[in-house]
Amino acid sequence: MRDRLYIEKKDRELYDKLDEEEMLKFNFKGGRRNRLEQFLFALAFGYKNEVCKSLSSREGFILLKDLPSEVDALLSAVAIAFSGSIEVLADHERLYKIGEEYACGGLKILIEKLEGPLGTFEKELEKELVDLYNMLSIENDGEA
Amino acid sequence: MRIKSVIFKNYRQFADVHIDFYRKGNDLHIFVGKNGAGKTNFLNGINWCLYGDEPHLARDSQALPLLNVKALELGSDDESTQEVLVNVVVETGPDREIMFLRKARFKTNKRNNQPSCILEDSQFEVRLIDQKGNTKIVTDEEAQRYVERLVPKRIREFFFFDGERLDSYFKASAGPIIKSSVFEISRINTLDQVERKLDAVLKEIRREATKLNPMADDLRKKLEEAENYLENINNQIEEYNNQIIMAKEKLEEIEEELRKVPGTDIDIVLRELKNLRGELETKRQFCEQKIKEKQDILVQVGPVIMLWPAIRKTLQIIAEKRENREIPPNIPKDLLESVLRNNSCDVCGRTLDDSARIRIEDMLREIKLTSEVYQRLIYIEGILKSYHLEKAKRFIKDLRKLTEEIGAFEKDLQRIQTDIQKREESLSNFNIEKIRELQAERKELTEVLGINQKRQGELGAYKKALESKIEGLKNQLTKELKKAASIRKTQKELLFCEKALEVLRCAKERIIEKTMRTIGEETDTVFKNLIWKTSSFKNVKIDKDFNLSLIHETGYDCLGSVSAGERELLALSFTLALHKVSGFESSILIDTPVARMSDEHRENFADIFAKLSKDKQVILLFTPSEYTTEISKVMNHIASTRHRIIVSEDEKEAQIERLC
Repeated sequence: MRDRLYIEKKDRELYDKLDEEEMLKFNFKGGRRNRLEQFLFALAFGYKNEVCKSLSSREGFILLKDLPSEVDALLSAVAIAFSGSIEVLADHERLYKIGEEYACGGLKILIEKLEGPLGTFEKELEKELVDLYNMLSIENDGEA
Repeated sequence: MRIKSVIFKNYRQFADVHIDFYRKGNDLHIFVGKNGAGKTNFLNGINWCLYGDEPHLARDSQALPLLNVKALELGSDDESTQEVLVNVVVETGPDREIMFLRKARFKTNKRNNQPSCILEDSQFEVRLIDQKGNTKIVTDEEAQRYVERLVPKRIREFFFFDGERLDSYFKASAGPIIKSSVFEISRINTLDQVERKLDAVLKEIRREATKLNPMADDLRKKLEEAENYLENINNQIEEYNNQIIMAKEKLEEIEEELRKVPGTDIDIVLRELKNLRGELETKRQFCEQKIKEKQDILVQVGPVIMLWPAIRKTLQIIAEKRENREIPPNIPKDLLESVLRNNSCDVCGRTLDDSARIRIEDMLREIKLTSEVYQRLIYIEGILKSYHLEKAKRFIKDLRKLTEEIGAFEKDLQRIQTDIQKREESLSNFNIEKIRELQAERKELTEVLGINQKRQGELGAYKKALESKIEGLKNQLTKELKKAASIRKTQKELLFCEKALEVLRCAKERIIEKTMRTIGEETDTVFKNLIWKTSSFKNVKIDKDFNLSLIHETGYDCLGSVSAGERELLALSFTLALHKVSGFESSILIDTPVARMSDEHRENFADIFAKLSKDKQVILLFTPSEYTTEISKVMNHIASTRHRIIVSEDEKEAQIERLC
């Protein structure tokens, strides 16, 4: 029975590297961001860029019992969208595996962006998100 | 007295200069020289000869030795001696002359081509030449006494002065200084000496009168004790008064110096700088907080935006399932479980056979799966709609608001940075150390001044009480002495002496009052002759403390608001009035006399000095630009001598060339 989210073993170093970016290390109250936020961020990058990567040798990263409901909902939504079926919700193994693979693919993109010219990450991220928001017309998404 | 001749030898830029102030008609003598030619050092030279100091030394001269630079450079590699000499000869009467001679010997050397000199010794002597040509030489203190008799150092500024500094006559402490100067110039001080002598005689008579009366003698002793004490108090008050005057004068000097030093408002600038830095720090913190809030939105809401297609697709699937009535499931799970548990149908009551049982178990399995998915779907639908949708929809609004706030903060920060930079730049021009030093001195002096004024006030009150006590003792003593018929004569002497003293004191008061009034009137007359705006000013007034007021035609004192040139004219008028009223026979020497005057005033100035020079020696040192056509038109033909001061090409020496 699955009790945790996994990452590629060698990706731990990359997650540590995310800490080098201030905005990914601390929240606005000065508190330290948790690994789950970084995982979700990587997952979102993987999903947006449609990069899914299987884990060759995995390592436990986050316990499922620590998963807040809103993150669990997002992981479920990704799995449904990926599989095209709600039945995936009954298959926990598959559900979380989809998320893990997107996070694995997205992490590399994220790292690449972070390694770009100094100070550009935040600006580029903001621009990408605003463009995406407008493109998806989220503002008019009353009932989605 | 009038200056007959002046000789400079190796004194500053005057290596060898001899000037005779001979008279033909008006005793007016004109010198014209460019700035830096040596006019002010001409004035300094006379001061140095008479008093041993150079009160008008310009900043560029301060760094140079008293010894002429060329004389210094002429010295050999080994040590040699060079002498500076200034000789001023004055006429004090027909065929009576006094020669003032000051010398300073310097040890010089030119080692490594670096000329330097050290003062070895200096000497001052006065040679008195009588009608028969006999000469008496006096030196040191006795020599200085002759200077004090002719041109007392304390009041020299009324005789030898820098026109540009006339304005300083109206500084805070000027009144008392002028008062004592007037007393000195007008010889009112002589009355003080008479008063002291009479007082001594009175005491002696009293002592004689009380010799045979122990009671009276006791009263006399008490009276003398009180009078001595009063004198002591008066001396103390006078001492405090001097201290106060000095402190005020020093404070004025400090204020003047602070005005000259760039950055007098350093405290304001530093305070502003501190406030700006505080404001910068606060705003920077606010700005950083807003930037972090924005980053937080990007990190928190960013994934939601990026995952939005998945969220939207999930919500669409749920909506479709709901529309197709696939959710919620149509057979209640509880019912199937009850049928299996009871082994009979809850609806028809029929017992379950094997096939029915298998069928129901399959259905339950199917329903179980669907129910779990259903529950999870409902759960995530709620979260996606209530939480993520709301967050995502607010994204742009929140981002824009924060971006605007950050922009405003950044603008503020830029403005503050510019303000700080401006102030820091202005601070870099300030001589902070000098300002701090002056401010500390000002603070200390202000405190001392406050203490002295308080103490003076206390002593004043004590003085009044003591005077009243003295009056009582005098009455008691008079009564006691009246009892003794044998000393009638002494009593009469005593009474006479007391009356004489009273009359003398009254006379002194009246003389002071009259002198003051006359000086005021004369100042008013001269000033109105000098000034072109005659209708703007009503009159000039001098109060009991000899503070000058210039009354505007509308009645208010406008001294503080008139131009520097007008103030200079007023000071000049006052000086001329003082000369006239006091009858003090001294020359008047003015450096840059019309520097701040307008053309109209210059013309009037020329007329006034043309008249003045009929009775008094007037020596004027002009710059070429000051010696305008208007002035030269009046002065050229009446001046007894005219000179031009010429600087050598290497600017190390000045020659004085006589033009007429």
